[in-house]
Amino acid sequence: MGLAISVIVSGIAFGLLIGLLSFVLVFLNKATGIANFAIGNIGMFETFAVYRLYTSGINIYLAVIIGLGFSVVFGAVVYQVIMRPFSTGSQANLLVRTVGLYLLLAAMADVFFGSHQPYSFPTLLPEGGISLGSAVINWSDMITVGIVVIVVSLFVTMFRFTALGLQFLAVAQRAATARLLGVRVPRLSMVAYMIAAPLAFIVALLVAPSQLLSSQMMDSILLYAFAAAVVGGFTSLPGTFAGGIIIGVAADLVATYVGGDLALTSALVMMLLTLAVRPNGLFGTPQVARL
Amino acid sequence: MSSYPRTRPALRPLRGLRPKSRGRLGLGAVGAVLTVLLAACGSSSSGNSSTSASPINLGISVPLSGPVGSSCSPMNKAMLAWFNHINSTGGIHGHKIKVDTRDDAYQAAEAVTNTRAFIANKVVAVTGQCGSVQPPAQMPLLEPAHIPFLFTFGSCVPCNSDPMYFNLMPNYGLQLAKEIPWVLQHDGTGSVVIMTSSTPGAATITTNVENAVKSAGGTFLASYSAPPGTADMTPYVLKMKAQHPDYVVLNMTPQDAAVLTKAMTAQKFAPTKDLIGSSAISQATFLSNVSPSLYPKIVVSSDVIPPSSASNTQCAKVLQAAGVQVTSVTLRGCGTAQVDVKALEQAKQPITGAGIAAVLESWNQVKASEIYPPISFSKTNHVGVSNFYIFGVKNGQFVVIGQLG
Repeated sequence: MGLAISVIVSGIAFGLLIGLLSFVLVFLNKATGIANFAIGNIGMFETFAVYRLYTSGINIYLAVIIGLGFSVVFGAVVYQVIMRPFSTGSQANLLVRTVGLYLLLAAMADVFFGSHQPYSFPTLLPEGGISLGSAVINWSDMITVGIVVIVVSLFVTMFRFTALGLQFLAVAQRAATARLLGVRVPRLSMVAYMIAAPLAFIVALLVAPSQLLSSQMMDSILLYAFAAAVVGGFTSLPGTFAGGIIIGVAADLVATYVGGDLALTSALVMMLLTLAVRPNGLFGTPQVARL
Repeated sequence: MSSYPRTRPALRPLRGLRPKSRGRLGLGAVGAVLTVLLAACGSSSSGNSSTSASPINLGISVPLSGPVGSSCSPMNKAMLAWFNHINSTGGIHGHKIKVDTRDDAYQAAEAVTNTRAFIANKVVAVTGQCGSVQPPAQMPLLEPAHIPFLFTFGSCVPCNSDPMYFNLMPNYGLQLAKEIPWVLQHDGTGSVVIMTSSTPGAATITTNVENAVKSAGGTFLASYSAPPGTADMTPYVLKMKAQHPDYVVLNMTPQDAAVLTKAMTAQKFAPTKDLIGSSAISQATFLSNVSPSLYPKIVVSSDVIPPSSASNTQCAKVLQAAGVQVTSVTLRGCGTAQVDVKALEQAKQPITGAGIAAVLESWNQVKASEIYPPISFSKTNHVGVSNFYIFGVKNGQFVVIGQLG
């Protein structure tokens, strides 16, 4: 029983990380109409850039602050160069672009940064933690919870109390109508990328110290994040964290009691079951169209 | 013979020249052709011209990208550096080595595609593979084509019975089966768990380890398996922690092993005695990412000398000249290329796959490389190295603390 509780605790910590990346995916999907497959690698690439600054002698915290600024610009560039041109094309066209970007960023990371990867990325958060039974809840896990709370609060505030948030909601609900009412959708999409890229960067910063910095470090987490987004509901931002925790705990329990090879499989099975039984996920709302 | 097409255009009538000039030029051209022919005949009879000799084609399918790309790519660079060195000093009996290197990204399907291309291109041998996932998929193609598969850096338990499969290092299971009794004898018997990456043959390796532990008087507690690139190693660490083992055996890719040790450190867990590994992790990719608090517990095996003992070797000089960092992985790459070259030098001319296999099977304690111990093969034994080193860690570097023969 002690082991089960320890695994559940570690699964919640893992799930929050998954949930944070899932949150970014769903936010982009809501704001731009496309769930960007490359979002994990955007964070990875930015983290490599920060690592390069760090190894050139810049203090890691200063490098991270520079990285946050860079990630805002990088998000804008990704949108303007990759996603915006002919963005009125089909959904398939835009999805393929995100897959292409995913592969391109991995290849670029290998070429520019990857000669001796994986690298030990310095831990930005305090090490150690509190023992709870046989598990140790790390300070970094608790700070992750804090980051999640802050991010959710900021987004709730933005959506409820700012014009920008209202425009995001309008585009998410009815992009064509929002455009007719004067919302500048391309500019709004660029802002969405300028928000999403730093968030992906934060996720990558949290992943890199434990997973080691490499061009593949976000791959498996991205798969879990997609599963979490589907389980939570691809239209529900708070649902992503619920989905993340469900997927994280389930994957860790399966790894412990059934077999590690089935951990990711279990997450994907949950995703498929959700799509079959409750297509809008646990917290998503059905899309209603007037005939 | 290859001179003919180049000289033929000179024999054509040249426009714009007077007939007399044409005749003189024609005679001159015939003379030139005869000179070239005579020179060609002379060179073929002496048999030592590198310019007229056809190259020796080798195929390398190796992960230059993907989860083990960072470990395998430097090994490949080191192999190519040694082959280039050989080519720059005249090649093998005047034949240059031509290497077709293809990335397989640690994917069996990619390795199969590459292997088909090698067979179509009639390579005399496939070498330089790195990883345990791809060889079981490559060997069924190479075997019927009579192309030897030389010296994988990885474990291929299903390949061991194939007559065209040759390896230098014993597979990880055999290494661990020899290493564990040594460790249990030196540091005392105790309880053991094994953590493996899910690769082909991992179950056999686990069985080898379990048998070795039991026969050395230890207690085998459990085995755990995680897919390569697992995102969260914490559940495995928690399970190990609940078992309180004296020894943890790692049979993983170096990256995964390093990630696991990060999770161990985060969960404040370490085995009471040692962290045991094979040559799969006796490399910088693993060591540079492990918490220094675990250094005193690391005991790993290796079939090649550590970088700290390689400073005076020819390999180290060639690697440095080529701008390749001298590490255990690059030394392995260079050493493997040295063994390839030795086999090609001794193979009957013209070199064929069967000729390479025949010469390897005749080797008995041959010092084919300065990096590896003496190598022996036979018709029934295709694993060349039977002696290997035991490394500990001192000042953040692997050092030899024992030897197994």
